[in-house]
Amino acid sequence: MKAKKIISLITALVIALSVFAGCTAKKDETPAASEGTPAPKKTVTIQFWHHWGSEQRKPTITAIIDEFNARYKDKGIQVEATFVPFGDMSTKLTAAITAGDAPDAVIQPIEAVGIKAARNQVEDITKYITDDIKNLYYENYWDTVVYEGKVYALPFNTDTRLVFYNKKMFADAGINEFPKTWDEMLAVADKLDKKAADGSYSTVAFIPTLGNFGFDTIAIGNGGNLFDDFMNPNVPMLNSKQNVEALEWMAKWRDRYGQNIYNSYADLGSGANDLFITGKVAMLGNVCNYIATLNKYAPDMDYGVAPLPAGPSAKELGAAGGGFIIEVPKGSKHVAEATEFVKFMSGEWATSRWAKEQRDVMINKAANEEPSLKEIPAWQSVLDLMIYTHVARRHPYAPDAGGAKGKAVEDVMAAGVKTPKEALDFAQKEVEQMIKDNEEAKK
Amino acid sequence: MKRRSKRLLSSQAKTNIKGYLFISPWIIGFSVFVLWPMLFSLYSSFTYYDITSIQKWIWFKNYISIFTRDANFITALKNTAFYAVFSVPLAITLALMLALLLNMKVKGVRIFRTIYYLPSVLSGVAVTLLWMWIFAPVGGLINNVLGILGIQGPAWFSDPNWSKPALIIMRLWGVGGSMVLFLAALQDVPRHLYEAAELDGASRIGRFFHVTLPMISPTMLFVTITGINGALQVFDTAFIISKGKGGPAGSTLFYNVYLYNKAFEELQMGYACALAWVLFLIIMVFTAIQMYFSKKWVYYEGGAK
Repeated sequence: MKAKKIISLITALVIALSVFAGCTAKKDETPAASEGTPAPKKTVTIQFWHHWGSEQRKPTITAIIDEFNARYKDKGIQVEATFVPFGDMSTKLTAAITAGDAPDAVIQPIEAVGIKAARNQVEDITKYITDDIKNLYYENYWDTVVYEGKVYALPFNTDTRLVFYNKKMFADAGINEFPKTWDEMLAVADKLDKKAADGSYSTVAFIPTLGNFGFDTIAIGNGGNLFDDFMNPNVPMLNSKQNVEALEWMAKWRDRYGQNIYNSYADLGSGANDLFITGKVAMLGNVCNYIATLNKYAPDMDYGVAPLPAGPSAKELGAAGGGFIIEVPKGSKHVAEATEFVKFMSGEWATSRWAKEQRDVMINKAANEEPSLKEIPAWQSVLDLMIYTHVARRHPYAPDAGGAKGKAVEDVMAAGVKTPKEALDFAQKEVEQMIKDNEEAKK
Repeated sequence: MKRRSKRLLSSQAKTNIKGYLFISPWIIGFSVFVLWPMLFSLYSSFTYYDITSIQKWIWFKNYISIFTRDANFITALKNTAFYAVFSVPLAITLALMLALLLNMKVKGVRIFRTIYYLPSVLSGVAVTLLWMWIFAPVGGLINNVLGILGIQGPAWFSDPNWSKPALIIMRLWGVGGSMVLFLAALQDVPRHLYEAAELDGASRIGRFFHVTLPMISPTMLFVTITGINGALQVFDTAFIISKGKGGPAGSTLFYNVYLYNKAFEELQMGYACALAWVLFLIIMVFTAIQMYFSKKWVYYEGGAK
């Protein structure tokens, strides 16, 4: 009787305690530094998150990390990299920072530095770097990592967007020169479209929402932008004349092919079904490292690149630039050591290696001098376009202004339920409301 | 010994303590992973909260905004209601029809049961990607079949009129879960009731409506409640297909997709928490209504429920 009671009590306790055991067992398992070796310092392990897990990207980032680990072995810093899918990165990182369990270094979109600094999600690394470090980078890009006078990251790669065109198709159609205006582009399309007897197309000239132009490059190409300023966005300008004209021009292409045919092309993605490689489209707006994709999957293709012609309201050429920076998330316990890795990543060796293998434009100027890059015919066009390329920072009070814009473009292009003016007016109101809400609440 | 312990704790109290110790894994798990997050989310819904830098008490401002001037909230409610109104009855009917078919004594019925159940085992994301291929406007399975029949299929996920129906069709593919529940209930219906009904001259249809349906009504109630709850919380398929944006033209902006965007794209976690609590109340109301009316149509064998 008594024994039974005791047994049941013990069982109950064991069940109860096992819960705690399960929660705490994994903590503090860091192996103690082996005492035999005369290591001068304890090795600090930097946790590094990146999204470069593809077949194309992975070997390069792995090689760069290996090199860092070899160089910093004696200095007591090692890096452990974790691949986080791009789509999960933002949520996972925010959750980790909130939980006080952030990684020490992370690759992040270049346009987000300002808003993340404003929201206390990044460590200030100003005191770990020297003032002259900014001379390493393109001048117009240094601003992307600075917020209110402090440095929150170091820049890594960037990109620009151009039109890739099929030279053979252009020659067959008797076009000798790439069009210089938006109207001319529509005009050459008459020669490039190939229609079968049953009305279906075997080749279409241009689908503006296919590839990587989106609305942004076309709007910037017409002197437009979502806000009044690229680096210090303040007043939303979504329904400006330049933006409306840009969307109207895009809608002309949709009308040219009809909604159904247009959608069936715009829905088909990249990869094995790449419409440019398979000759289904003659011109494709894409990001500059599409050069690497073509090099890999269509090495014999005869293609040319040209900047998007300037739109009717534009004073000069324009393209949207993206890219990535490397930063130390808030809450890292090794900010000094992590900054060493950040410096290495944005330094000459790592960026040159990346440029050579990935054909990306690097923000570190020295990297773009890589000789093997200069052999690529398209490379000079890419570098020439860099001064017209703009990175648009996110508005601190409207981080999702891009979402409102995206909906507007989709309503016009894919759904065909609104005119460009209507859609952009609506998006403008949405963004104004977002800013107002956030400003009021923060007061 | 015996006397001393009695003075310390009555045997009733000791039994209670032991009881709590036995259920402590659940209690601790529930409080840490369910109760605490729920309370924190309730608190957050009255704050302006951007997750990392600020959490400020703003009373009912979030709720007032939701109900007075949030056009997306209305869109999301309408979309979710549309999805629930069509997907729930269709899914229940289909599941019941399949269960009736698979309850017949046919050769190879086990294989059929496995085949029909299989889709509900597969992971949501992989299945969604598969369906994106099936619904592809050019070269997709469905539009190819429609093409053979001489119908020009729509660009399913680019056309705001067809995106929700496509999602409902996708949902119907996964009715295997409720089908299994119905199947189990059907096998519990006693033979002698059918025999008695047959002797009384009841037709096949009569037997279904007067014997089968009442006998499986508790399962029906369960499937309806969980079905409506699931439909109101539809998220992953729409999220993947619209790349998180709820497009085209807001046609797949379901309640939870909108909530996610508020929380993780606009970083308005407080507002998102308020949205979550509004959804919670909506689901509570629906469930309460169903429980109330269930008294009138659900039959529990053995009289009292």
